[in-house]
Amino acid sequence: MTKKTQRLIWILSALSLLAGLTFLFAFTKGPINFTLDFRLPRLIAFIVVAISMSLATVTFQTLTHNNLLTPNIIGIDSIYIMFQILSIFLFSSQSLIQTNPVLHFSLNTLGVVIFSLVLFNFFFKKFPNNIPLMLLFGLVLGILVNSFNNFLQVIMNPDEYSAVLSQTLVSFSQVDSRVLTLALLSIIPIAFYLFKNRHELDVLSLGNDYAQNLGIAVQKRQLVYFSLVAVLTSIATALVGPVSFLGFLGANIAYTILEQRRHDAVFIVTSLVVFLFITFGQVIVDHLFQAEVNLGIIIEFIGGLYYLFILLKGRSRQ
Amino acid sequence: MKKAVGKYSIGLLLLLILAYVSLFVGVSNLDLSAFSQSDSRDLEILLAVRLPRTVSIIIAGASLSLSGLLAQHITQNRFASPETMGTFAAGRLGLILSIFLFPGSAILSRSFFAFLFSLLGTFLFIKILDSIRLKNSMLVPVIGIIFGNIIQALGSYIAINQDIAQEVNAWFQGSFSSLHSQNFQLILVSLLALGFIILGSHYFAVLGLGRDIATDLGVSFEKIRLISIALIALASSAVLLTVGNIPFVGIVIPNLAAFLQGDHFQKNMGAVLLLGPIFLLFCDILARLIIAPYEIPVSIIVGVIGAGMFIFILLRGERA
Amino acid sequence: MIEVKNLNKNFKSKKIIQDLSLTIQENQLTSLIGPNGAGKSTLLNMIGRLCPYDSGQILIDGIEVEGWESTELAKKLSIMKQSNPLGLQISVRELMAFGRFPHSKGRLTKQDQEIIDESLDYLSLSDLQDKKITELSGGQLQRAFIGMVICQDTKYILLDEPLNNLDINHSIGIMNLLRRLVDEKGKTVVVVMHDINYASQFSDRIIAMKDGKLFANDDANDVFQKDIVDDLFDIDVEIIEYNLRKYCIYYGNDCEECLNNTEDVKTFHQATN
Repeated sequence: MTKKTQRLIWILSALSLLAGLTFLFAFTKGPINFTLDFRLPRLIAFIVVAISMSLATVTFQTLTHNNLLTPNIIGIDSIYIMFQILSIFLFSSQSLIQTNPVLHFSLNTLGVVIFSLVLFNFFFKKFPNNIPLMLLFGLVLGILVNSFNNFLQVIMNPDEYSAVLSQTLVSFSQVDSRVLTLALLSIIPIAFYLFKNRHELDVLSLGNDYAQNLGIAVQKRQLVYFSLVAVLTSIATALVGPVSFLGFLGANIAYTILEQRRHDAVFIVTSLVVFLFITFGQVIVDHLFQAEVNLGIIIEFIGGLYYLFILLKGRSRQ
Repeated sequence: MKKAVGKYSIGLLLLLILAYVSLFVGVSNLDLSAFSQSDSRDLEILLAVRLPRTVSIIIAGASLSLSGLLAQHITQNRFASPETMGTFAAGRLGLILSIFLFPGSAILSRSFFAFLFSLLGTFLFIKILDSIRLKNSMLVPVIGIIFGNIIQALGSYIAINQDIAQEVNAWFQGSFSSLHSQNFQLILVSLLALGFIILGSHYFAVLGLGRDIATDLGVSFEKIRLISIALIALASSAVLLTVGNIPFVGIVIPNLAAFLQGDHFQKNMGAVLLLGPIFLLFCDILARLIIAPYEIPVSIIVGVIGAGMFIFILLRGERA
Repeated sequence: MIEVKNLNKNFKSKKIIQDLSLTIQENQLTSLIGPNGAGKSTLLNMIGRLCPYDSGQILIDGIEVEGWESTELAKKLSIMKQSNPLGLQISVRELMAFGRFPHSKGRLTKQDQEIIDESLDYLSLSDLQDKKITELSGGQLQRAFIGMVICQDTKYILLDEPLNNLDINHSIGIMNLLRRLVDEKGKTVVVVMHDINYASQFSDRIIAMKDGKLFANDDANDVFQKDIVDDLFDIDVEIIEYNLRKYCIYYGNDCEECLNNTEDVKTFHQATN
């Protein structure tokens, strides 16, 4: 890493620390312990979401060689919502699966992960070297599943429908601490693995032929990375709801300020940028707007506008 | 040539049969023989509800699939359609904005807003395509759908904030069930667009060869493309406002036609004008039968069957 | 040594390679020539394990391509396809450093850095080493890619049309470079070529292919016979000899008169050289 990059990372880390501390201690009313009990799990959730969405998006964009894509487009959101609806539909909103958050989180995440693995395996076997086909397939599948979701919602009892609705909106406000522990435990090894293999990802970003030439078993490795992306995305979705542009926002800002794509720097900078967005955003929303606006929607909105901006600028040569 | 005539006759026959079934499927059974009595209740139902519905379905099917065909030609991408270019999403945003900015405005001015926005949205997307040059043709619809989702989210956000989400959603839930003789006329506007597309088909066919060849052949590429976009926006926003969002028809039907008889614009025009209505009539009849006496919104049936067909076309195209 | 035995490859129902057997000798520059669709690039890609084959064998130093562990093979053999510009913002040095990946897995050692410095020097790219590859000219970019291959330091180097889109000056520069890799560093270089005269001028050996089959595999001067080249490309050529190398003149019969004037031909070739 160059001096400039290191300095940038130090600055962002300092800002992140500041953001974290502001979030924890600013504007406290009443005993500090009480506030911390409430705020600390949320801060940890921000970290989990920031890291998982950043790593997932950057890895996904490296594998697809396209900075305009986010891992959500392979239908992960829709599939996640479908599992939500199905589990309510089959077991009712009062069942153990719905009321026990750990069970609920594990089953939903597992469902999405298994689904993605089946999809990836199918495509890598049947249509090797055709990632765009897989993406379009996932996207269409997402629309199909949405139709199906709408259908289930039409014939669903209204009370249960509102239970579904509340779970399908992005929300950074409530996180169960047991679920959080589980999520944290699952992403740490994945994050570690991806970081350890950062040089291989650098090589993969050159293109498949170059990577193969440099001794990487491209097909096999891509399948591994895609699976990890699916796990990370599912976890983030299960924690806070479908966030499509969060990782996209961070990753593209990172590429722009770093002016390079080395994964060590990009991973770190993206995660820090995303964390800053969520944490500062939440502080502003909580205290300036008295929590009247939904941070998730705002971030998606900013992310969407940034996406359009990048599209129009035509910067991405992909 | 004879073979083509045969194919078209079969298609036309199928269309007529389905149209007939569509007229006579419903909660109340219609008795054909009763029509001779001029004051019959059956005739009233037929004229007030069933006929507008069947006519709307036929027009919607034809408009969406022809718009899709045209969109695919001007972008030279077989996955382009009003829903993968942001046309629908932008039209929806236009309607939401008109409700929010000018509450109580007439349906006509709202429609104009919707049309204007779908035109702008589509034009914007075409300009984006000009500038980013995607390597793989399959990424065009992927980016287009993300583009549409952003506009859609923007619309939803305004709608939720202004408490008009319910009104808007009811409006766009693709369904023919609420159409009757008083509110279906707007869809006739898309007939106008259809007419112009058919009249100008020899120009649009040249666009399919790309900017350089088209210019070489003496066609003003930009001008004709703008006209095409306007016609696509007109046809699809009329359908969007009368019927709602009907997914996949614009992609699947032109691909089906191309699968049956190759890529010639004018040749496929006839085919999609038959296939689109046939497909939509079929889906609508299903929507009315599956949980009769209730109705499923036709967009759901179209979504499921259309997505299935799309996936089939997609995978088949790759394997062959 | 690279041995190809009874190789077959179909794409859908089309036969790309049919029962092909040949050997490629070490420490030589071998050119693959032939008309479009002859299967040259496919063969190169299959030897470079970028593309699987249907039946037959490709042996690299006696071990079948598919049997090699991928990192080990990457230290033995490198392939460079027609270089499509990468959209990546990396410097020439960083690009070349990727060539060290099979050896050090991205954690560059002092020895790796020395090899990169040496290669930069060898290619006269030292001055450009910090320039972004997106800012390079076609010839410079091509050299940078070859630099990556040199850093990879493999015994076998395969290149698919390295002269594509290069002007005469840069083409000759690249060919001289490949020649030096064989003569000075003892590499084995296999190149897919379109221009047969470049092939003749710089190669030790020519492998000619047509319709997925071996057409000729011989010393450059032995392949360049009128009847062989005529049959290979289905054209009418004139073979001339200059400086112990053979060249083809292929302007068809219309120009026969001017071709008969050997003086003219000689000046023409001096000009192009």
